[in-house]
Amino acid sequence: MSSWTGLAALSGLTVLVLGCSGDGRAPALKAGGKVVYQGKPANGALVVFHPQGKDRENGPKPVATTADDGSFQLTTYNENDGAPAGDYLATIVWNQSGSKTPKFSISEGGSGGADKLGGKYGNPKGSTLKFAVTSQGPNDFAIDLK
Amino acid sequence: MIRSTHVRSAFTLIELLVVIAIIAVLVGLLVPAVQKVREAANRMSCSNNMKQLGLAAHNYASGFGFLPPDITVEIGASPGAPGNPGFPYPGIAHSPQVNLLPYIEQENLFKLYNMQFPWWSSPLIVPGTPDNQSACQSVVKTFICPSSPGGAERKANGSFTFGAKFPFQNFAVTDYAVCSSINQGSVTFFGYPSGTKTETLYSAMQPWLKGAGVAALGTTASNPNPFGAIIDGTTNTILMCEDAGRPTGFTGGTADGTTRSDAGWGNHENSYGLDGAISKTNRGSPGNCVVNCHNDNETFAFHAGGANHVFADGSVRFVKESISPTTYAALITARGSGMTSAEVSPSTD
Repeated sequence: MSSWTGLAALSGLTVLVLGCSGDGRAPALKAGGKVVYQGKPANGALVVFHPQGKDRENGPKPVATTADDGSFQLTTYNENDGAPAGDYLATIVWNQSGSKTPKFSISEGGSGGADKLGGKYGNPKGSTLKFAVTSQGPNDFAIDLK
Repeated sequence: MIRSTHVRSAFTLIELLVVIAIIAVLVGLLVPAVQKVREAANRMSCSNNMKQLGLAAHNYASGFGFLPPDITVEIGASPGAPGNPGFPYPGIAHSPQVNLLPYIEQENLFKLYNMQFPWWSSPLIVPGTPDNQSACQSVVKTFICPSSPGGAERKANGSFTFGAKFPFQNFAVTDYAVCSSINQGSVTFFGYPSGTKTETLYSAMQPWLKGAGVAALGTTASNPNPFGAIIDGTTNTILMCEDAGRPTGFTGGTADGTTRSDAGWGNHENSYGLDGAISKTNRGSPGNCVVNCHNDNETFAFHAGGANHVFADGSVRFVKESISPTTYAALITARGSGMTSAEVSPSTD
C-alpha cells in the first residue's frame, strides 16, 4: 500500500516538475484593438507594444499589422495569441507602401516609404500611447490618433 | 562407452534471437550517443570555420585599414554604358565572402576572380568577359558548416535580374552570412525610433556602396568600417552569422519545399537585414524569434538551441534561440549606443 502511495507521489511530482519546466515565458493573453487616424481606420500600420519595467523591457514584444478596418490582434509567440500581462508603450508606424516592399533592389529589404503619421507615434521612448494588458481583460484598445 | 543422449552441438534459434535482440537494443542505445558526439564535433568544426573567418576579417583590416565590406556595389552614372564600372555589365557587385579568400589560404581561387567585374560575369553571358562564375563554383570548405545537411555537395542555381537577367548555376554554397542591418519595416519592433535609417543601424561589416548610380537604388553611398567606427565595441557587435542549409529552404527544422538561389558564397545576397519571425512554424515578420526560425534571410543554424556567431573582436560565441530580440538587434548594430535600453550592455547570455 505504502509503496503504491510512494509511486503515485513520485509520478505526481514528475508531472509537476515537467509541467513547470516549460520555457518560463509569460503566457500571452488575448489582446487587440483598432487604430483610427483622424476618424478613418488606418490599414496596414505596424503596431508594436513595448513592454515596460526593468525585467520586462528586453522581453518578447507583442506586434500586429492592422487589417483594412484598422483592427488588429497582437501576436507574441504565435499568430494572434495576444500579449503577456503588464504595462506597455505602443508605437505605430503607418507606411505608405507595405513594409516588405523592397526599394533597394540589389539587396534585401529597403525602405517601406515615408510614415503617414510623420514618425509622431514611432518612438518607443516617451510614447504617449500607454496600455496595460491584464488577466481580467478585455484588452481591447481603441487607438485614436490625431 | 557411455553415449550421451543429449548433445549440445549448437545454439537454439531462441537463444540466437535473444542474443541478437540484446545486441540490437545495445546498438540502439549507442546510436543516439554517437550522433550526439558527431554533432558536437560538427558544431566545433563549424565554430572553428567562423573563427577562421573572423581572423581573416582582422587580417583584411590590418591590410586595408577597414573591415571587409558586407556587399560591395559599384554603379556608374549610366549603368551598362562604356566607361562605367563593370561594363559591359550594369555594375559591380561582390559577396562579403570573396574579400576573405586571400586570408583563408584561397589566394589561387581569389586570382581567378576579377574584382573589376560582378560575380555573375561569365564569357557565356558576354563573350570576352572574365569567368567569375566558374570561380564561384569552387567549393571552399571554410565556408561550409558540417552540421548542415548536404555538406559540400549542395549547389545553388538561379538568376539575378539587374537591368538584364543573368543566369548562374552550380555555385558552391556557404552557410555563413552577414546580418548587416535592421530592415526598415522592423525598426520600431526592435525598439528604435521610426525613421531610423538602415545606414544608422549598419553592423560591423557594412555595405560598400559607391558610384553615381547608387542613389538611383534609393540608398546612400557608404564605406566599410574601420575598427574605430564600431562605437558599440567590437565585443558587442556581431561580424558574421550562420544562415545554414541553403539552397534548401528551411522553416524550423524541416525543409519547407522552397529553394533559395542566394546560397553561393560568390552571391552578394549573402547579406540580410534583421526582421525576426513569429515562430518556428510561422514566418510572419517582424517577430520575436530571431535565431533558428527559418533560413530566408534570417539567422539559422542546425545546432540545438542556438547558432554560432563570430564577433568583431574575433571571438566565436554561441547565441541561444531564446535571446531577446532587442538584445540581438543591439548585437547587430555597430553604432546603436543608447538608442534602446538593450544597446547599453547587450549580452549573449
